[in-house]
Amino acid sequence: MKKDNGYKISLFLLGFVTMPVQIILLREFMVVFGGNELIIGILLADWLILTATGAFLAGRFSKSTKECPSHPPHPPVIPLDNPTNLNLNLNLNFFPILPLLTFILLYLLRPVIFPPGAMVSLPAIWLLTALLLLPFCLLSGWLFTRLAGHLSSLKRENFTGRAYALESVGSILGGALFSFVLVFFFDGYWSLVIIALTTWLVLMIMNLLNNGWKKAILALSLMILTVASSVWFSLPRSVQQELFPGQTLVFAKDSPYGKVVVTKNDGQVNLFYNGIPVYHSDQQMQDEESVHYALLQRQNPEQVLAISGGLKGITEQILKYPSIRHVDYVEIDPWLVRSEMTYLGSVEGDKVQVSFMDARRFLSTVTTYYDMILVNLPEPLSAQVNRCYTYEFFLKAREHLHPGGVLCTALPATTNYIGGASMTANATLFKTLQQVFPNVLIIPGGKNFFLASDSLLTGAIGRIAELRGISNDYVNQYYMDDASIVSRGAYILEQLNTTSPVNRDDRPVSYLSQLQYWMSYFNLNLTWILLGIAGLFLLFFIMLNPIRLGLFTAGFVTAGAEYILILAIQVFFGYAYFLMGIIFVLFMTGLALGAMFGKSIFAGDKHLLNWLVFGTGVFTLMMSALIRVPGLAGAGSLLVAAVFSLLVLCLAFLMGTVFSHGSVLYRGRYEKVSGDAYSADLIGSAFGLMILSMVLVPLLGLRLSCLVMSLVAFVAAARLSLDKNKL
Amino acid sequence: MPKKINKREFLKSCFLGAGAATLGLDAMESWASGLLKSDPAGPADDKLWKWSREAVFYAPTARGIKCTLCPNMCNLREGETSICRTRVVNGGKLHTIAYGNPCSVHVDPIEKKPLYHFLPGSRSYSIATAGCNFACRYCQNWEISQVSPKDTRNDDLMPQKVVEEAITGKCTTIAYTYSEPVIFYEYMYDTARIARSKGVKNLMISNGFINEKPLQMLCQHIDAANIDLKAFTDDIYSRLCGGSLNPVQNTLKILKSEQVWFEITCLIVPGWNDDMQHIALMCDWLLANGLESYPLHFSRFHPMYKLVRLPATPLTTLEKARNIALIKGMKYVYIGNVPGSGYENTVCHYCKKTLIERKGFTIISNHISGSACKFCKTKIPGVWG
Repeated sequence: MKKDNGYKISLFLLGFVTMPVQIILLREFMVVFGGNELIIGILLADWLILTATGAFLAGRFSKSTKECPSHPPHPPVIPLDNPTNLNLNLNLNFFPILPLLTFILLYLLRPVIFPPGAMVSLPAIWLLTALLLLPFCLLSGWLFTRLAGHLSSLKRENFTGRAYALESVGSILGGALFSFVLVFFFDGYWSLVIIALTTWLVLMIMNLLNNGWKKAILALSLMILTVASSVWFSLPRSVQQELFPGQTLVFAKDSPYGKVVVTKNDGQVNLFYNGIPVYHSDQQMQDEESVHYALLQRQNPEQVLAISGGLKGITEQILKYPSIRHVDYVEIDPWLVRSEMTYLGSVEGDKVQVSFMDARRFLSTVTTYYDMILVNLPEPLSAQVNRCYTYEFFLKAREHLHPGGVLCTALPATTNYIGGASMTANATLFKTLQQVFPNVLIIPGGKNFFLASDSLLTGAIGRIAELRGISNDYVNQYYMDDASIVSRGAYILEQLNTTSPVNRDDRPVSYLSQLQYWMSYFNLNLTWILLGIAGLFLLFFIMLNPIRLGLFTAGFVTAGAEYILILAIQVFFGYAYFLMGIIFVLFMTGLALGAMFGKSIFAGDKHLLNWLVFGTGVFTLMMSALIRVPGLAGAGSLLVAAVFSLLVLCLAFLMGTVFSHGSVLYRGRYEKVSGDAYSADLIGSAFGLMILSMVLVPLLGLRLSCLVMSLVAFVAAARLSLDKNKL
Repeated sequence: MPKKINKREFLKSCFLGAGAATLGLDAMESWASGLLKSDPAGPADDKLWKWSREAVFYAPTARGIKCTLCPNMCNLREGETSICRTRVVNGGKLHTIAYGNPCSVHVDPIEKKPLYHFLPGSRSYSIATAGCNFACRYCQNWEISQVSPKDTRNDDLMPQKVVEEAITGKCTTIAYTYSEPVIFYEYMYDTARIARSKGVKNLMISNGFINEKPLQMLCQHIDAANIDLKAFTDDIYSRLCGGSLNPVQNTLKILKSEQVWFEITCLIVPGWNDDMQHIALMCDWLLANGLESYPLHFSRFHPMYKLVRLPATPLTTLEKARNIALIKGMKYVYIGNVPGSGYENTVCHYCKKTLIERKGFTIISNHISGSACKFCKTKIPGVWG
């Protein structure tokens, strides 16, 4: 086997392992800590920054390769089976086992460090995530730099760009293997095991071909040890049980959308979704509130659409009304409904139709008109959930309501006082609903229920419950003090700021206010965190040398633009698992193609980098023009899909080209070159994701965020032009 | 013989050994959180204002001033604020900044407090200022309890005005509730004094974390109380709420000796205080102290505030706790927050007939006549009108 092939395969394996591990571990971290936009941002940033650190350190402290890109007389070549390289081989072998250990530690440490069932504060999440991801991410960055450096030495040319392409190809295969195959058959832990086994198998064959049978035995031993210990210790069930003290874990399933867990305690069945309890047996109080505040408003409701909330509990309440003819129940994750039907019981009769679909997608596909639309989703803490709290969503919902129909949605209760952060969140939802419906009423209960309609609404719930003769345990004349409902609802209304912004698809302000509310649980100030991130970004922007600045900026713009594109796609098409998968494959393909061929297409000298960075700015400028949400929404979905696919592909291709070209401009040892280039790109990406998701998009909206990114790219390009002599 | 451990325990031990280094995380978390705190407590914000009064209970110390109102016994320097966020040292004296400035004012049925043996069916004018001497992880009023009165939007409602409003609203009682009335002691005390002179009764809905002397003084003007008994070990008290058990036990004893009617609420949180042995110990203690006639409410927990990753309390757990309490000899044991369970009715402890049938906060029927069971004439503990 040719030595350079060994390195190439290793780079491929690096991507093959890293990408699915990233997807799986981030999913697990979100299950353990929660999945709002801030936590997702922190997790991704931790990941990227640690990997960048590994790559950077490897470039600084590795002494094994010495080479300048300009004149390579006789570079020292260190083959894979060279003793110096024994560490590299060992590291490659131990690399796939680290995610498994991280997985186990995550579940075991959570209940030891943090109180049972309690939310964890952001600083603690940040610290624990960083500690747990440290070994894997550092090693992954370190391996990239070392492998790319060795390959460059062997090829006697700067191979960093192509190394990046090879890693990207590995990422495509690894990511696709998990997202399109493994996720349907295995849980996160066993998917990690399969990825590890595949990697060891390849390493074993490679070593056997190079007569390295001792190393092949090492890989084989690790394979046997991993499978045997996983089976012996009943992993992952045994560690996942630790998250549910006092309860017995009876079922766990990783679906493409999330993790469903069913537990039992004292005869009560509890259903958790991504670590949060969503329904349990005996929850009449919540079910009744979710249904009757709305349904009692009208004399004879016939058609009802219920979006999530628990199939059995919600539909049983709806079917108490004899006039009901049809109920559509929409849930994105089939496994939620399946688990519920298995452990909580199923729904009888033929009036209920269940659809497994994103709610927005559902509303775009059906032609039915409803008397009631009940939205029982969690509060809009993430951009994805926020799509069902926007002006556009409510507009679409109203199109599907009969005259006099009622929409019901909710936010967490404000009980006896409405604080500053919750006031903003409630005011935004109220204002948004008001833009679509002439009548909006707040009913304070277990949550703050918002009823909206084009006809009059009443807070006299107790009285109409009695009049309609619906038999409830909680929503009845005995519990409902109508005067109190009216006065407490009025109290909330009095406190709401009438100048609150409207939550729109292209300016999702709600999730920022909801995040601020979430932060207030810990008495933390979101503004300081955001200012800190922005300050660090500026520091990097000013301090980096021109080449690093080019890669940093391209990483920033690409990651940010990718975030915006994904958000826009979800707005147009609704969340669709396979569509997201295709977007991911397209992106990685574009990256690989750009890194591999971009340089030959955009032939140019050292000044090309500033033009390429300038190009990313032009690209985002074009995006801001194209993403005119209302305009595109009217176009045929195929055309929209084609436009977005092209955008994703072009964006990634541009980034690949920037990386490939930027890395060529570096001087110094190959490993330093690879380490610097890779780390600058990753740090830029980390900032792109954080700043876009936490600050720019919720504050400025999609289009203005694109403009800000363009501005950043243009300023960076200008600085590169001024500093061209340093390139 | 060495204790055998199962596979899971073995695995856990191995990994916990490896992860022990991360246990310093708590300290790091505190540090990191400290950097990002938005809590505005500090000299500039702790200046006295219209709603300040000199505190009644404090003593000078070498460090400065010690607040002697509650068992936290905050020892403060000039300009510092107490744990409850309502007491500041200014000019060498301790002042409350929670006097006449409630942030929450509502009218509630008395059953909502819950008080089932005190003027059933009456309405209570309910007030609270911001602040609390606990930090319960499940507090449903955290937006007011975990902040200072300087951070909330407050009404200007001095004691005299509170009483007038209560009378205008046809409320027979004033409830000091929602956050923690102990921390607005002076405001509660003055209001209660005026209210009683006008024939309005006073209710303290509290965690019972108060020192003996202030409580005894307050008992002269308070008519009834509901005291939370949050757990029956100091460890759980501390980890769940940041308090301790003994002072609460003392409060119950003092209320009894001062002849203030009270009821006890125990919110059962899965995985925290749902150990039936602890419930049995708690009932033993209540009986040993002659508190068997005071109603005990076991209440259902729902995911709230920071405890959102726990399920609601199973009804079976509440029923088990109730059965234990009844077997031990408690006379009136209720289950709360479970509509339709049927455990909200008052049943005569002697003849077992239903005396007060409740549906939610509504009294469907009442068979108590002159403080006694209409059927067997047994005296029913409580204040019935």
